[in-house]
Amino acid sequence: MSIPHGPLDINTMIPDDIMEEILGWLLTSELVKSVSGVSNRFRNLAKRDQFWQRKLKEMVYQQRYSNKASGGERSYELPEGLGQHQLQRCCWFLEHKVQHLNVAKNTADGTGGEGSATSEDPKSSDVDPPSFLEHGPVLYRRTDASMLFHHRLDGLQRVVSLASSTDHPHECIENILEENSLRQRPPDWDRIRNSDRISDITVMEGRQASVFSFRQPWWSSVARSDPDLPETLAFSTRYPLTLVTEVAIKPYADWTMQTYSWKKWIVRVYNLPPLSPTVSLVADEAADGEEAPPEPIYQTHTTCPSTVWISSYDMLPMTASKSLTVEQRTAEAFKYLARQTPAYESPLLDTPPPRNNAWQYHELPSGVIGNVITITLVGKNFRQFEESGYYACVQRVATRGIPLHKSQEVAAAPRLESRMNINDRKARFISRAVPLLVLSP
Amino acid sequence: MADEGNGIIRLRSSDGKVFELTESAAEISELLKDSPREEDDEVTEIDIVRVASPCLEKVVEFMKHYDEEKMKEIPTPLGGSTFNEVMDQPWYQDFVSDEKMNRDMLFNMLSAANFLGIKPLLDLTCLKVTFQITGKNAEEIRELLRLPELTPEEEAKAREEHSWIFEEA
Repeated sequence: MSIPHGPLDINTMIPDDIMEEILGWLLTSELVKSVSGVSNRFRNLAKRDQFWQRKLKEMVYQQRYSNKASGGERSYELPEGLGQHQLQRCCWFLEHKVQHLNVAKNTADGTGGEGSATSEDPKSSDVDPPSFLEHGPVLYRRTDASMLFHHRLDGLQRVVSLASSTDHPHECIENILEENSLRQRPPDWDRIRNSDRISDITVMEGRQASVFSFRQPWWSSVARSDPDLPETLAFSTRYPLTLVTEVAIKPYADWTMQTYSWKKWIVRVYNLPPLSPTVSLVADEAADGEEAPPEPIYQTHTTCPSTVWISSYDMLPMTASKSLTVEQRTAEAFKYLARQTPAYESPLLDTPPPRNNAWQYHELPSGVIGNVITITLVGKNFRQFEESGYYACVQRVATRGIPLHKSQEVAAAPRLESRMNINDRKARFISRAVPLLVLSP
Repeated sequence: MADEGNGIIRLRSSDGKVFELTESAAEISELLKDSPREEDDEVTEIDIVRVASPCLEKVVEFMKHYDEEKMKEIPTPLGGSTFNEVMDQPWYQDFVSDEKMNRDMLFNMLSAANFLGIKPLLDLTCLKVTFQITGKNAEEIRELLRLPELTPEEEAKAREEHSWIFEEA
C-alpha cells in the first residue's frame, strides 16, 4: 500500500470506535457544547445512547468502586429507557462532583491545578453544579402535597407521601416536607452534613404554622407497645425520574426537648414504572379547554391489583375503593411497594444519641436514579408518658438531587407561579395533574 | 530454535526501511504476536505495509521502552484535568510531547497503533488527542482535525439538540 501524501484525512483514517474512545474521555460539557457541533460524524457519535450509557456506567463505577479493594464485584444497573438528555444530565452532574472534589483536593495538597486543560477555571469551580442541572429539593412542597391529599379527582385520592402509621390527622406526613415560603428557611446542607449537636440547628426550625394553620409541623407515628417496630415514610419525587444525591431527616423534639427519635434508619430509592394517566383524566382536561396533556414520559404499563400506585406518573395514588379505610389503603400501598426491588438500599444507618434532634444525613452513592424515596425508621427510643407506647416523630425531611428531564420540551413546560391566589393555584394544580411533574421549586 | 521471547523481529516499513526489536518487545502488538513464524528462525521479518518509516521508527521505540517500563493503564473517566496529571510517567509524557511529535505524526501513530493492535500506544495517542480537543470550540476542533465546516442548517440542528444548555448556561 502506498504512503498517503499531502494533508492527512483524519476523518477517514480514524475509525468510529477509536473516535468514540477519544470523545469518551472528554467532559460532558465539552461534548455537548463544542464537539457535537464539529461535524455530522461527531454529532452522530455523541448522540448514541450507548455512548452515554457507557460513559455514565464508567463514571459510576469509578466513583463507587475506585477507593475499594479491587476484585470486588462491580454492578450498576441503569434504569431502562433513559434518554440522551437524561444521560447527559447525569454525566454532567457526576463530572462536576468529581471536578469539585479534585479542585478541593488540589487546593488542600497545594498543587493548585495550574495549567488545567479544561475550559473551566478551577478557581471559579463552585460547590454548586450549573444551575440548569437544577440541583435541589426533589420532593413535593408541603403545600402542594397537602392540596393533592385533600382533592379527589376521578374518585382517586392522590398522595405524594405516605407513612406506615399516623397518630393523628394533624400530624400527617405532609407536614414534614419542605415548604417554599419565607417562613421556612431552606435547609443549609453544609450544616446538615456536619450537624451532630442540637445547637447546630435551632429547635424552632420548621415549627411555623403551615398554610393549613390547624396543622402542627411534625409527623408522628402511632404509639407502639413494641419499641422495635419500624415505621416507613414514602415520598414520590416531583419529577418522573430523579438522580438522588442526599437525604436528611430531623427528629422532632417537643417543647420539653423530649426527642422522639429512632435507633437506626434505612434509605431506599425505587424506580417504579409510572403509568399513563387515566382516560377520564385526559377527557376532563380536554373538556375544560386545557391543552391536551403531553404524551406520557413512559409508555410502560404494569398492572397493579386493587391498590395502586397508579394513575399519574409520579404520584402515589391510593385505591378509590370506598370500602377500605385510609389505614387499609395505606397498608395496601406499602404492600405493593414491598414487592418492588429498590434501585438502591442503604445499609442500616447509625443515628446520633437518642436525645439529639440534629439532622441525620445520608449521602447516596453516585448514580442512584428513581422516583420514590422511602425512609425506614428502625426502632423507637421514647414513650411520651410512662403509660403510653413508643413514638417516632419527624420534624422535617429534606432531599437533594437533579431532575432528569427526558427532553427540553418537558423542562420548558409551564411552571406554577408562587404568588397565585390559593384557589386559582389549587385549581390549576389539579387541572394540570399530568405536567405536575415539572413544577419548579 | 530461538528461545521463547529472545528471537528477533524485523519490521519492514512501507518505504522499505527495517527496524529490529526483540520478540518479547513485539508481544505488545496483537498483530505481531499472531504473525506466523518459522520455528527454527531466530530472525523473523514482517512487512508493515501500512506504516511508513518515520512512524514505524517511533512505534518500535515505544515498544522497546514499554518492554522495560510498562505504561500504567489510563483510567476511565480520566483521573485528572491535564495530560500530565493523567499520564504521570515522564518517558510517556515526553514521547508524545508537542516538541517531539507534531499533529500529523500523532495521528499517524494513532492509526499505526490501531493497525498493529498496540493498545497502550493507542490509549496514549487517543489521550493526547483528547487533550488537544479539550477546551476548544467547534471551529478550533475543525481546524485541528482539518474537517469541513458545517452548513448553517447542520449547525442550527446541532444547537437545537442541546438548547437546554445553550439557552440556560
